[in-house]
Amino acid sequence: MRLELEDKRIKLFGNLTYREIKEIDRYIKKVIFNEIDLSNAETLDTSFIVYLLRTNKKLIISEKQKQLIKIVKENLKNRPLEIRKTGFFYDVGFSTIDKLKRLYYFLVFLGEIFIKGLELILNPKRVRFKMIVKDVELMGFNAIPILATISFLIGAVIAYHGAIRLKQFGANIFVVDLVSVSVLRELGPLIVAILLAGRSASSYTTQIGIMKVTEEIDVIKTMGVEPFDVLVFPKIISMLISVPLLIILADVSGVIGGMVVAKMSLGVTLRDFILRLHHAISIKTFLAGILKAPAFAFLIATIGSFEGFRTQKNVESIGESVTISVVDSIFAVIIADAIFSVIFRWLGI
Amino acid sequence: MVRNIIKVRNLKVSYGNRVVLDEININIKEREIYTILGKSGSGKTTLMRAILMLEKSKGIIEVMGMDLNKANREERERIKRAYGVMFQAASLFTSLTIGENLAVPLKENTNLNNDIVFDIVRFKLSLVGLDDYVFDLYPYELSGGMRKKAALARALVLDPKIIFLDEPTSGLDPVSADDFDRTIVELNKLLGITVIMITHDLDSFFGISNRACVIRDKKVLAEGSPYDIMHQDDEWLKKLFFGDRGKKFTQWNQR
Repeated sequence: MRLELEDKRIKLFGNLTYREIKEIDRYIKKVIFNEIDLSNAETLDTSFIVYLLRTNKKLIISEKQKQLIKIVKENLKNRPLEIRKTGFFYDVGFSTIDKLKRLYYFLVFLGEIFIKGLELILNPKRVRFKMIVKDVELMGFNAIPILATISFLIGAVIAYHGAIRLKQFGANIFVVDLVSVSVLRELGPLIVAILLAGRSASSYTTQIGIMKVTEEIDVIKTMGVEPFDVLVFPKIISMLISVPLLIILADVSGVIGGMVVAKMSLGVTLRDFILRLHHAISIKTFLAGILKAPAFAFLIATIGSFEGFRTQKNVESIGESVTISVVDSIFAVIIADAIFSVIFRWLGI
Repeated sequence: MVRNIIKVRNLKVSYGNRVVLDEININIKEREIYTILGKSGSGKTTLMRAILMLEKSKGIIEVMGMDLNKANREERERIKRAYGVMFQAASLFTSLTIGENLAVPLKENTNLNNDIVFDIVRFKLSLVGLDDYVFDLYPYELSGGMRKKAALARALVLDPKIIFLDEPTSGLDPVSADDFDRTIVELNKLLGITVIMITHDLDSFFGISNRACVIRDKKVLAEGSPYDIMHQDDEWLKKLFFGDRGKKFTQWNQR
């Protein structure tokens, strides 16, 4: 683009397209003029014309450009654009209400699970065994390697940190109590729950969310199938099966981790370790951990599915739902763990 | 004589060992509406994607006098700016409003103020026949026809020289499809845009296209006016024009 100013008339040459708007915009603000002459332009695009018409100056145009400018004039809106704008208080109020709504809908969802769960128990034929087995494989069985590794390391780390203090008192053998009680009561169940919250809740949310976006859930409904039967109950049941088993695995693997460290840095032999284990823990210790399993399983499966059903029909919303589902399920699991600790203390377990 | 805006010579596209297109030769003239016909899976979309530089190909694809397979990055970018594309599924960004969708190409290529950008966007929306109220709506809040129009408007934002439409009227009711066809013809006439479209819609094919080619068994079976193509000696084409659906079409036209 080339510009010339002559008797308050701007003459434009060359290419006049959206790429040149910024340049002429800068130029126009500096000079005083009444008219713009376009007739010598080589190329002219509609975006540029939109800009020129906004300046409200007289345009000098060639015969060829007449039609193009006419089209733009016909389609150009003079009304100012109305865009929804919201203030600070509106936003705060809106998100508060939104959070309350979410809680309300979650309670509704739990109610639905309860009623439809009763229906399912009365009609056991509707239980999808294949789906449950498949889900146990995906969410339970396939999680074994990572879970075994993590809990082994956690057991080892606890033993290692305890080892330094215990050595000072010559109380080497008590590393057994330290590792076994902490892993069985707290860490084993919690690791399983957090791992599955990241692994399974996110996958449940994505699966149901995308099915909602592609209207597959509506298809299921029109086929006369209850979506909960296919999408929610198999997940809940599969979690109820997988979580206790995985907790047992985490317990064993964590204690083995402690055992290895005890042997290597404290000189506690395997025989001594196992003998001490009989005194350190009882069936109560194990139960205190495993009793949490159904609650954790239920929370992970329901929060994961609930967020899936809450997904809106756009791509961003799926990402958002998955984030919320993982964060919420970890949060819920930890809250539940705290409540269990209090209850167990009352019951003296 | 009208200049060829796109010239394809001996084009070959293959995925691994599977050859999808072979020895493709077509000419697309400036300011015409050019249709690519062919069975489902015959490679129409692949041909379009090769011209759009989304697919690796061998041979010559000359766009506005520039061979794409020999051009450097800068030249390819320049050609890409002359393109406007509307994909089959409309493919609007679902997390942006229609207004923001249309503003994307402008904001990526310029550093203009929002009010100028919005004015240009509103003009383009009006050009394809959409009202101002869609500006603030999300794609999922629109009907299929409106979504397609919005996608067309987005393809037009940078005033392209060539616009590619992949099955523009599929999934639209006949009235909306007619409306869409009219919009395409208007844009072609008013703005002088070359339109290249893939379609199975016989109405669009006879109604608006100036010239067409048929892809069959990886090759170009014929190229010419819709009338020439209709009288080609080919089984699939005969089925298309004189089969059950085609027959009804001609019967209805004669009534």
